[in-house]
Amino acid sequence: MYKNFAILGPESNIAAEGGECAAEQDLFWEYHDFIFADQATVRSALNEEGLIALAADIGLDVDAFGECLYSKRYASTVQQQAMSVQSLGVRGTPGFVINGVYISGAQPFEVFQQVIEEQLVALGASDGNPSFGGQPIGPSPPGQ
Amino acid sequence: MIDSSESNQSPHSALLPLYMGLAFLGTLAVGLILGFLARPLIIPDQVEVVEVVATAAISPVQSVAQANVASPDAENKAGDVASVTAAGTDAGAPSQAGDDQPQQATDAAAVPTPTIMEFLMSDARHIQGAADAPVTIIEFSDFK
Repeated sequence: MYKNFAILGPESNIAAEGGECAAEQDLFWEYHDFIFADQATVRSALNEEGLIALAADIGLDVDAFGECLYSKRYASTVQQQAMSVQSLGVRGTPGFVINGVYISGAQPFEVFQQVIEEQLVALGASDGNPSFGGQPIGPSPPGQ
Repeated sequence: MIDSSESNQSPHSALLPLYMGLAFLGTLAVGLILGFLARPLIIPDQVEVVEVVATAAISPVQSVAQANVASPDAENKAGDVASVTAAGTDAGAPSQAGDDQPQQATDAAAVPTPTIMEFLMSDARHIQGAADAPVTIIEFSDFK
């Protein structure tokens, strides 16, 4: 699940609003992945004109996307989402919550793996048969 | 020649500014103490659920899965994993913060309150994956 946490200025807000506009066309995740795939290039395009120029590459209906972006109809939604996240005490991006466990910052894969596996073990503890992708997880029994 | 106006001043006159300063400081101290003691009369008894969340700062990697959103313990004590987790299983649990506001604890017990995960997912807009997945990852991020 993705929640906008646009706190880095007007460009952040416009980019987040672009995500909401992409969601109108059921292409939010495509927009999400595209924007994050090449931040060095996209960073200079985080304005209305720049995002509209990228819309076709994402597969969006450019006219509808542009109309949505210029309408600013998701501006308040984006601001409310940021306030909602800030109300939890989160101060920086990115941040993650995995089954209630908060992870701050862009941590390496192993951090996420550990938290996920711990959560799966905790969930599976009740039936004694935790699994992840068909493979047993957690420490191996003695002698194995 | 001696100025008669100076000769008529008592020795205590020179200390008058000192006495006034001490009187001011004493008045200020009394005012601060009275203000501190009068807090319950100034601060409203009812605390919005979101307001409590707003003060729940969380540390970089911290378990908040069972944190009860309306628990008074969440305020100023979110860094204490044990206390937050314990509060999540008992909305009416007595707490340090609730000692001087027993009515608030009673109200929290009467109304079911959401966990942090439920709170975060209540206004979710962008979700992918199986609805019954054992692990939920929430990402807070900024496209910039």
